[in-house]
Amino acid sequence: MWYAIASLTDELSANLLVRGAILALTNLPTAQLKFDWVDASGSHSSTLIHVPYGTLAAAAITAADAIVAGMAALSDATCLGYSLSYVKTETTPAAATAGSRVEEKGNFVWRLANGRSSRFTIPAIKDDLLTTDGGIVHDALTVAALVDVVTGVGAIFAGADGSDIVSLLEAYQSFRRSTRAQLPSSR
Amino acid sequence: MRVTLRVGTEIAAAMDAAGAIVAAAGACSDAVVTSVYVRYSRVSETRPAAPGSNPASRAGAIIFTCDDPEQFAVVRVPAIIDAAIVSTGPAAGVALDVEYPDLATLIDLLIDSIAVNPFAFDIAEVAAAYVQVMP
Repeated sequence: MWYAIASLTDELSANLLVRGAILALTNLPTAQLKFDWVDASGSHSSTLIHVPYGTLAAAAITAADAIVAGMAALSDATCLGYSLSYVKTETTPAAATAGSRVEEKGNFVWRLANGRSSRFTIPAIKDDLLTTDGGIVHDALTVAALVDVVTGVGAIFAGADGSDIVSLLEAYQSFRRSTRAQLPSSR
Repeated sequence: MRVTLRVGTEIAAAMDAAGAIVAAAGACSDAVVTSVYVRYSRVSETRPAAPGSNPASRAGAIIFTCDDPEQFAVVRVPAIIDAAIVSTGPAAGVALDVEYPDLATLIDLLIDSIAVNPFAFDIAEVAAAYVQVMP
């Protein structure tokens, strides 16, 4: 007995997650498909399936759509969707600058083509990019280079709604609360 | 740091963009990058009700051999339906019936598709299939 699958649609964007200057990024041997399920009681579970890292995203998604239909016929849970993740890790990470704190954020707010805004943060923002009142200097060389990467010709960055990023709107410093593990050992 | 890309961006272009933005962002930061994830998400347009009552914690675990004899792959289907479970004999209630049509179809699909084990070894054939409860 085949169970109907609600239509799966792509979220309007793909997410690029960066944790932590990249020296030698190495990919994992596979990309990972994670299917999310929920049963009648509301409890969640997941299925992990791997595809070769070199698989094009479009091909992986086509395969995933077929697999989820096959699994749904065997399950009393319903599939809410799935994610496809490609991961690269730094094999020889450099030492972070002494005294740097990831709780100190550089907030970069961008204007989108549809008039809305989008934001991402850079942890441990360099102090020499800051004004005395916590703003970030827009025309600092490194900030200008970042703006060029994000908004320049051929850039593919977008807001969560899929609208292209077109310009830098605001940039400023803020602080996130420290976790216990992040407190200095010499306190 | 989370950045959004246009939907439909292929992975090669996404990783190129990652390299560019990490270089630019890294020049603004005293921290170092340890990993990059590119994640594509597909979500259900509506949220249909679960078609049955079996709990998600009761999964059907399908064990596959791979092209390399030292390798295996496992695929778990949560809330496995009762019809796919062997109901007679010593394995009743434990083993999955790999001849059950929908299960046989899924097994063939996984073997014939691009699915691999976590070390990128091709899935070859089913070795075992049984119920696995993980509360």
